[in-house]
Amino acid sequence: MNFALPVLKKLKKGFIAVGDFIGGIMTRVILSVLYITVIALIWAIAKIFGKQFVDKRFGSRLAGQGAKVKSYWIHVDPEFNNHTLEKWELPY
Amino acid sequence: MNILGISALYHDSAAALVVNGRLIAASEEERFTRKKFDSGFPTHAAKFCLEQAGLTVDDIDYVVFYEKPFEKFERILNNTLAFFPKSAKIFTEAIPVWLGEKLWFEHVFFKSMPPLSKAAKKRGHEIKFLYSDHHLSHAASSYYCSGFKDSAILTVDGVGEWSTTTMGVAHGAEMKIEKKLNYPHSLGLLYSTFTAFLGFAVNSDEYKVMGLAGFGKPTYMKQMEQIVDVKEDGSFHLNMEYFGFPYSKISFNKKFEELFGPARPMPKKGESEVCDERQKNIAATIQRFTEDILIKQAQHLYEQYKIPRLCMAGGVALNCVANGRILRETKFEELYVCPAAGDSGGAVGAALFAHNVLLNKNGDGTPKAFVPRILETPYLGSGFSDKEITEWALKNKSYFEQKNLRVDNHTPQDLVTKTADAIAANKVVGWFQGRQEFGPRALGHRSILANPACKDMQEILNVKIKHREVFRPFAPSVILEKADEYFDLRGKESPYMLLVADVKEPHDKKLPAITHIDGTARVQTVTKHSEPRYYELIKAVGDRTGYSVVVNTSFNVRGEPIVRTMDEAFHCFMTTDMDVLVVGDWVIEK
Repeated sequence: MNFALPVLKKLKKGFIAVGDFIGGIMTRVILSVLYITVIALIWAIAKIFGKQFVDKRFGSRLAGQGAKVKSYWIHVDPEFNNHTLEKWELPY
Repeated sequence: MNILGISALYHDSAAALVVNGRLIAASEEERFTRKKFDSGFPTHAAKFCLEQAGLTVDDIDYVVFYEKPFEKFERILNNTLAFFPKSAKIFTEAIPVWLGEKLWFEHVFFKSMPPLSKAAKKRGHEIKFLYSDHHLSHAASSYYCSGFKDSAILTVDGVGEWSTTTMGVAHGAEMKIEKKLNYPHSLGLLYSTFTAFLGFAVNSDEYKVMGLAGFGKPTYMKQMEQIVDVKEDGSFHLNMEYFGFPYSKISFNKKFEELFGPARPMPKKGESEVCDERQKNIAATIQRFTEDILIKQAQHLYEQYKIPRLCMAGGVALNCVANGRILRETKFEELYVCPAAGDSGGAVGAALFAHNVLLNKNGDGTPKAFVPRILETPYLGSGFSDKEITEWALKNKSYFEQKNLRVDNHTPQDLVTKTADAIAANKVVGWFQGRQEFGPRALGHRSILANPACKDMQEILNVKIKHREVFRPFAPSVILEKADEYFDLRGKESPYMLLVADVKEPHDKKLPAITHIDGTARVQTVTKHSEPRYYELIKAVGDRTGYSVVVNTSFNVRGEPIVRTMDEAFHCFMTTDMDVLVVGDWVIEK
């Protein structure tokens, strides 16, 4: 028995190390899958909804609208020219 | 009422102080930190402005930031979404800076400036913060310095919050912005794209493209029509299929290179700076295209308001070739461009707008009568008294002698005579006088001067003094009375060197150092009233050479900001082939 005990202890340590190793890989795999899923989701949302939202703000952000349009000037909202201290205190 | 205007956290940071409606001081931060186009908070410049007026932080009533940071941030978020996933990289680089600093201006101010004293806190003094709009700051920097009682307004730059170009009108104190173009359709960014494509630095070397343009022909106008759709009223849209600036640090893309040929790589130190014919023609094309758009915009503006006065600002307003054409080819009779038309001038505009529109009111809240003020002087930066200069000269006299330099103090008249003699003898003179200029141009206070009639002077200055590209032209300073004799200015003044005019025959042949290859010159007109000593010097040069004109280039070497102190001027003098250094009333000769 005195002879077998250290061997068993070593085996146990070995099993634990292998377990930790596999557990570590599994954790990383699961986290990676989660990470990729989140990124893919953000990507998809950005691509689908972002473009529509931004096109409104950017106007025609790719090629110019061509001959159909006579002028690209944007008329400024008259409220912009109504300057008050309250409005100027805001950083937006 | 003490108002401190600040432009910062992008490029060309600056501070300006307005006391009871009068602009007392203004300076770019780069002059203090020696970091060209410094973008940090302008601590040194702000402290200088306060010192100049004998004030401290305790005396500030309002601090006005030149733009709305949250609106700009919104544009960056939109841009990221619009160009996702290509934009992901620049977004991840930008986000820490925005969240850490750019959004929280008040925090940055208190972190960078000395705190309020206990006494000020005890009496309940608080600094109030205001936020202007980027293009409104530009517009105000021009109109409220113009001395006009009404004017049309045009601002054109890279981008502010969303706007890239705005036009409007000002009557009395009131200013209205009525039309605009939004990002990404930007004339400034278009010009910068070509600047990068031609191997120059963006937001810094655009004027080199302007200089290079003189050597080429605008042979690429057809290609320009493919990448920009311009309407008759000067409005335009960029075809974003050709541009990379929304998502990359390289502002053009492969498709752009297919259209214009391969980009010119930025030359490394010591490499040849020579540009080939194609590159010269592309420079000429973008320059002509920009001028044509600006002229269309100006004409449209005139038709709309029928006011013969135009105030321009924004980085593109520094394009003095375009400014000259606007004056010659549109119905505008007067054009005012602030000497600091770029972002640094936003500090002045923000403060002046706050004074004139928001704060200059009677006790009952009604606005006080508007008094148009013309910018009294462009020499708004730091300077040194005669006493300080003499102390500096005496302290270093033994060192100067050790270096075999001749040092003498002169009366003002002798100083002018001696300097004029040196210029007429084709010597290169470093000229350091009074307070330094606000804005990118040296206007006779921190200037290197030379004889424009010397045929080798352009090469001497470019190669031996300024260490810069051989193709770059030099500008003349001329006394106003003689300006129309030599230059096609048609009676207009150009006090801030922001107009280009043809050099008249036969003077174009006689003044080779300031006549660009296309027969033009970027002129500064000098009056006795605006700068008496500089005026007398140019006149004295005229008595000797027959031309009351000098070459005037900024007192710096390539890649460095213009010198601010005597030590910096002396260092520049010693490390170049300059012959004479004039500091106040002192003359130092090699």
